[in-house]
Amino acid sequence: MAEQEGVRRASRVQDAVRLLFVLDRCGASCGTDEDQALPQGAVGVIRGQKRLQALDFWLRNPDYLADELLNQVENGSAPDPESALTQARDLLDGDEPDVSRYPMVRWRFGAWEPLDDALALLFAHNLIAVEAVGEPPAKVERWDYYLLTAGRDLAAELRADAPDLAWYDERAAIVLSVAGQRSGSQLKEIQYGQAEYERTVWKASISGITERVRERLARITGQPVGASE
Amino acid sequence: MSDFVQAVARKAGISDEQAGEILARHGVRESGILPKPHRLLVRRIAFTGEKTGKSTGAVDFSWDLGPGLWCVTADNLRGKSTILEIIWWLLRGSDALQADVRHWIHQISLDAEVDEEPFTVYVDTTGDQLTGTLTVGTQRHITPFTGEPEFSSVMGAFMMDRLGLEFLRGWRKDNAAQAENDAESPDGQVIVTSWPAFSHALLCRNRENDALLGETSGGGTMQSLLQMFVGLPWTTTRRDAGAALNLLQQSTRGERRRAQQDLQARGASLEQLENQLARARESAAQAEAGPSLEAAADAVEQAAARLAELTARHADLVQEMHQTQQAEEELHETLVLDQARLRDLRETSVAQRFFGALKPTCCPRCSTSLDQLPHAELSEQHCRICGSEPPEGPVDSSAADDLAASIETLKQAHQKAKKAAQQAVSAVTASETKITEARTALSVAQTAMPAESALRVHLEVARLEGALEERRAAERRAQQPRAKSTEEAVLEAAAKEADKRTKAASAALLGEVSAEICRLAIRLGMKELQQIKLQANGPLNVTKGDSRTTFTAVTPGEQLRLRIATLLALLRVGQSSGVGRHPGLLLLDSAGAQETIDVDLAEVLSQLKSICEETPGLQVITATAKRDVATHVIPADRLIAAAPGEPVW
Repeated sequence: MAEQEGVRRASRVQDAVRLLFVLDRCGASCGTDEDQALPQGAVGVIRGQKRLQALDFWLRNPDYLADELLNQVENGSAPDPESALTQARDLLDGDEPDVSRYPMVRWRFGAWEPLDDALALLFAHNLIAVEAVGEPPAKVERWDYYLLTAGRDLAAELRADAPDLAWYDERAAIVLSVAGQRSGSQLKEIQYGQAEYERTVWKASISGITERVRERLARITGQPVGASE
Repeated sequence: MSDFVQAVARKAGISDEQAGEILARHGVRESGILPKPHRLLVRRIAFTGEKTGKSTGAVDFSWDLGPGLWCVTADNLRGKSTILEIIWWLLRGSDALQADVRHWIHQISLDAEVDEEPFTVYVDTTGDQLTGTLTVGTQRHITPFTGEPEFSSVMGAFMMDRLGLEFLRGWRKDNAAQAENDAESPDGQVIVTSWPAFSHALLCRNRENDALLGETSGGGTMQSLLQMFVGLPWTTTRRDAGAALNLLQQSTRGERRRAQQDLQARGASLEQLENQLARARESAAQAEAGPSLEAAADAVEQAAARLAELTARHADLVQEMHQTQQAEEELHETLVLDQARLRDLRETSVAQRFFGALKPTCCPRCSTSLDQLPHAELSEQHCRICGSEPPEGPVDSSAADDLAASIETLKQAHQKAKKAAQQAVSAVTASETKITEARTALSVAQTAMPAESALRVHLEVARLEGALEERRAAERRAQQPRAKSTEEAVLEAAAKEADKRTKAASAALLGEVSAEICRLAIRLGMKELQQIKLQANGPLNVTKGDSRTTFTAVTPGEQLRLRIATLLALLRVGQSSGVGRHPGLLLLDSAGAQETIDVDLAEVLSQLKSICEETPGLQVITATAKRDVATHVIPADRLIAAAPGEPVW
């Protein structure tokens, strides 16, 4: 846990747990591809830091995630609109949007946060592997993040034994349902287009778009949504 | 209150005071008691001048006179009448002289006396205007005058006063042509008999004249003179009342006529006005049904006050709402912050527990295997990467617990604040509703204010009521039946009462006068005369030779005798009864002009002479062309006789 100038920052282990679940839930399976030189024990992969950052953004900004769910309900791409609406409602319920939000800095081409420390923690424990694609160190085209067997085991253990951390897993599942296996650039475009207006000001990214999305959900469902306690 | 006023009041059926007031207001004088008669006596007539034209030479005439019979005799057109006329002119103040004669005479002086008070009239005709003086009494009080009107006015005032005469008012009806539009009772005018008219009683001329007395028979002048000489009591009263009544009736008729013209001139009929008024009253009643102006203004004021009060309270509520909302928001912010911190604490604690149980396998920076790291040989408790010692004792979870407890408290406080904020919002909403209602109430109250038209309709009612009343009054005036007003009744009663009293008083007197006229006329030569009956209103009935006739129907000679006889009779009876007011001066011109027999004239003159002797204070100045008779009958000291063909002056 860290707070700098009023901006909430997660602790390093929280970052690590969150990234672990993102990799566990959203990573593409890679066990069957024998042609490729895979790190030993790799069970899943997220290719490109852009995709990792984009997935992380949705996980730590529930209002944006809910908004994208509503986009999909409205444009008909949601496989199960009913559950999507329920998920959106849960994401916007009570103080949850504020309590589970970890704002990201708007950087060059989208939301970004340095993940090196958290990744290092996962890497040191042999939970993940990070591979550079291209001709490192001079020319790195892309970074691929592999979940290793131990990582999957720890994720399963946390899922079972740490209820306080369970929401990361659930949230990562929703993020996957929204993001699918689209590339980082594609996701960034979606997020950027949608969030463009709301993020013109730095402060706006902190307060999020909760109220707007709540109103949108209320319009769609015809029921009031909010911190109804 | 006099007996007369009381009688009038009884007749008119009103109080004595009211009757007295009305009679006084209309100038109806009581004349139950007549003033005593006064005596006028000419002492001396003198005039100077210069004849021009055919006759020439200086004029310087004077004649001293006294009581009794005096005579001037000359051929006709030799100035004898002029002497009488000059005397009459100076007493009267009004000119009756022939123009050429007047031109010759420049200064005239008349010495005379009234009841032994001497007075002198002096006239100078030489200037552009006549000038002169009236000098009265032993104190020689001088009143100058310039011009005929002033001369007439000075002499009139003096004679009326000294002879105790009253201006007589009479009524002369307009002629039929003028009174065409009111045939019922023609209009007329009041005429006043004053000295120029009275003075005819002094002169008796043998000119063509139907009048027994005075210049003409018309206009009641003769009547006035007759009553004047006889001194009948109550005649003045009767004439006053009659004239006032005529005047009053004329003004009433005029008013009614004007009112009728007024009614025709006005467009709106009574009915139209009544309809208009009914409509206006209806409108007014509708306006009345609404709230009064005061009540409406009150309601507006109250509504405005309530609105102001609610607005003020609303501002307080809004402020309170903002405060509670802010408190709620602050609490919520803190709550969210604490919840986030608690989550971070717990997650970190749990995650650290799991990661702490793991054993790093490589350096996260260089991927060097742990076996080859410097801290590989350290105990299991140490970090194999950085060599740091494990934390001592179990992880302190009290911070998280405290935070959790604090969050619970915060949650309750937040709930409370939230409820308070909701209540504040409800209060504001309710207040807004009330304000809206109050605002509506105010505008309703303002709408209920009586419009300007309501006031105008009241004014219209008042205006129409006024117009209607005026109109009704006009109709009353115009359609007034001939109901007598109190004033009319009083004046009528006064006229009747005075008439009654006049008749009672005059019956005996006129009988006496009539008998005396008859006696005197016989003495003056009307041997066949059997009876004379003088009526109070003037006509003289004559019975001679067993037939009845009137003054106007007898011969001019008989008329002259009757005229002289009447004057003398009135004078003598008045004197003996003490009620006549003739001043006792008679100027008889050409007493014998109508006569063809000298004896008759001699008889007239001798009778006049003896009448004068019988009647104290009587002065008779005669002029005759019968020189022989005059010189025979009249003593030389009382006679001025011009030689045949010679002028008197």
